[in-house]
Amino acid sequence: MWVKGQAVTYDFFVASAIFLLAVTLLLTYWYRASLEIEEWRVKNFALEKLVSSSQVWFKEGYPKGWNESNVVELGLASEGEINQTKVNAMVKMGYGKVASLLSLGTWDLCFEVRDRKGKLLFLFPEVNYLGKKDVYHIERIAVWNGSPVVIKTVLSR
Amino acid sequence: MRRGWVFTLDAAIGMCALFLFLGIVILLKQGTSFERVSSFQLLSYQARDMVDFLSTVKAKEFDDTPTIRRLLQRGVLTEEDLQEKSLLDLIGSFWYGGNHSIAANITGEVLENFTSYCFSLQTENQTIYSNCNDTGKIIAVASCLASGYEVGKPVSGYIARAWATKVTKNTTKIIPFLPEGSGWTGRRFEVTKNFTLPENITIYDAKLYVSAHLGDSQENAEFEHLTVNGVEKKDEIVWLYLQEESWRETTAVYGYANVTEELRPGNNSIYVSIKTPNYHSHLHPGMRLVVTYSLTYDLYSSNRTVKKRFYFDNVVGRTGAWATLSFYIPEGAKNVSGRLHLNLKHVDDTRVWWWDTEDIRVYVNSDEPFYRDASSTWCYFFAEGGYYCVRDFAGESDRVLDFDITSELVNGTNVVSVYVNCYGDYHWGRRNATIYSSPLRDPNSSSYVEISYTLDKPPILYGEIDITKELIFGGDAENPKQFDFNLTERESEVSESFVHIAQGFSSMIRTYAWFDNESETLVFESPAVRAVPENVYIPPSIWGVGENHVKLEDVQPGGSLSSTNYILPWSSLEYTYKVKGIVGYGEVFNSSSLAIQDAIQRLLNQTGEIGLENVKYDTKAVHGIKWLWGPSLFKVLVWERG
Repeated sequence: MWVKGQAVTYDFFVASAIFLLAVTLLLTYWYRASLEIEEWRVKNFALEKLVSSSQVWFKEGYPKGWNESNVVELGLASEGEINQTKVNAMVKMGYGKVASLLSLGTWDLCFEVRDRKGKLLFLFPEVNYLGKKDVYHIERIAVWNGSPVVIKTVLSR
Repeated sequence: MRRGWVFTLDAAIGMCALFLFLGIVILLKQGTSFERVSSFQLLSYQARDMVDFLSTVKAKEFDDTPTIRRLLQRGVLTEEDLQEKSLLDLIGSFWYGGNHSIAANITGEVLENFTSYCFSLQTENQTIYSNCNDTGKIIAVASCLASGYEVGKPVSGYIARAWATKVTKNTTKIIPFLPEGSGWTGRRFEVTKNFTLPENITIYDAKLYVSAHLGDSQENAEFEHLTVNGVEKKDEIVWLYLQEESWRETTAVYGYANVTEELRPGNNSIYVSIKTPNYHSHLHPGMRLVVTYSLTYDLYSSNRTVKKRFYFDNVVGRTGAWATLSFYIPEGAKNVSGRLHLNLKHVDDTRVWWWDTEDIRVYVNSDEPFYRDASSTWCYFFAEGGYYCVRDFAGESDRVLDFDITSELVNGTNVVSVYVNCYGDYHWGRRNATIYSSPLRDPNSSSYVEISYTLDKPPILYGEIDITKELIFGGDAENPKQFDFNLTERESEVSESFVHIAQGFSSMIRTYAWFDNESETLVFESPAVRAVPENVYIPPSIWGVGENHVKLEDVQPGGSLSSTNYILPWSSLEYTYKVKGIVGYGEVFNSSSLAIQDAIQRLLNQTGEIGLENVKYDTKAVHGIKWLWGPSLFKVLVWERG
């Protein structure tokens, strides 16, 4: 008798309402936080891949004079400048192998090289990343054939 | 008990919720931190890329940017510069060459197209260029050391220097006559000046200014002789100024004679003989010989220790002899010492009763006598209008006196006045008192002041050529009199300067000098009445490039300006300046002959009208002149736009 009476008191309903409200807010916050954490994780991965992919224009790779058959680590530079031979080798071995060497996972990669006046000098691979959901890019300044160029590395999915 | 249990369960649930909430917040914070790390990483790559790009890419790649194109058109930059220099080298060259705006413009024009970030190029804590006014919370910095070549110079080639070993210069020598006397009431007064001019000179002009006190008119002038090397020039004097004292039948005269034809290289002699019917004939300040000549000589270096003699003129006064010798000790002179040597001939020995009376009196920079041969100045009575002190004549003798005057010397103008059997206007002698001087034939027995001192550096270093010029004051006879003149950049290194005072009647002189609008500096004041030197030394440190000023005042012993003692317009400023006859290594040329040509041309430009009789040069090859600027630390700072 006294238990039932106790359960239906005014205090009980107020406390239950507050509790449910708090739980609802917490779950909502938790949901949004989970999304953000996932986004950070993706972004973290993307940025890491973006930077490491852009670095291929500034390192020599392994072995130093690699070709498409023996390449272990991709690198397109020699003695501080972009090496045209290595760029040609990269094009020749195809996007699939490049993506594999760079461990891109589900991400797509694109390199755009333009001169200082914005003229497109090189595009690899010839894909359109417009309209994709996640697109990250970085612009680096490098020297190609003695001239300054801007290399845009785009990662998308 | 039950209530307590329920409360504990609520608290546990609440704590769980709180911990959950805090956990999520911490995760979010980690995410923000990660974002910052990523942002810094990107900025850092950008900064590093920009440094590498600036130090790697040749400036030639940017020859179409506005600033570089303009510099090429003007010839400031050459194609070789652009091919050899990296962008950082070029920017550094202009920055460290003082062309900050050019360095900033090039940096902006080159980097603006390559990044959307804010950036700043800095060196040695100075900003060369920044494209944003604000700074970001996260700034990435990349740096490198650089040094480079000077703009417009080849990086290797030949440099040359040149120097003259023998030159021909046109210069002026001024030989002053001392204010000296005397001939009382019609008795003859004679002065002989013997002097030497350099042997290997060509005399262009020689003007003898005459400043004397003699008879009162041309008819009664009693100007007996003015001979130059035996040639009578008395009648060729052009009189410029006469100031009569009619009550004494005497006149202060000023004029000049052209003696170019009579003077010769080597030894010369000028003889003056004058009288006046009344009072006292003597030479006034401003009598001097001004010789302009061309001299060819081998360049030399003088010593730091200087020893000089200033000789008296040979003065024969038939009523006693006196002379006021002036000499100078330059500013900065150390270890100064001086000696006064007097060879006095035919000196009257006078007495009053049995007391020996004064016959010789010497002043050194003071109105108190430095030396008197007797303490008594008694007379029996005064004759001739109160001017002549009557004493007994006890005999005649020659006196040789030698004094150490070191303690009396001052840096600047020094004045020594010697009176023998006379001290105007009080006592005049009766016989042939002589201040003996014959510096060419009998230098050690002559009367002179000898000084020695040490300078911090030699007055003339090897390769330096000294040129002396004289500027005549001009204008009117007046008191005081100011003279303004300009010194050019070429004449900026003045080593000596004097003002030659031309006066009729005189008492005491004050000389002021100053540069531009600076305050007047009193450089000389007569220590005693009639101690007016022919010239006053003015320390060269007073002068500067631009307008300079000299002012002369004749004052009475009480300090008031003299009303009838004028400074004449033929007073002058004599100054000696130094020109360097040597040029160091210059720019880098592609051939040794071009480098030598450049060195000789620079030497010609520097020496101007001085003739270079013998020029030597040397050349050497140079490579990679990296030391022209740097090494300097350059930093690129990159941050996100706000």
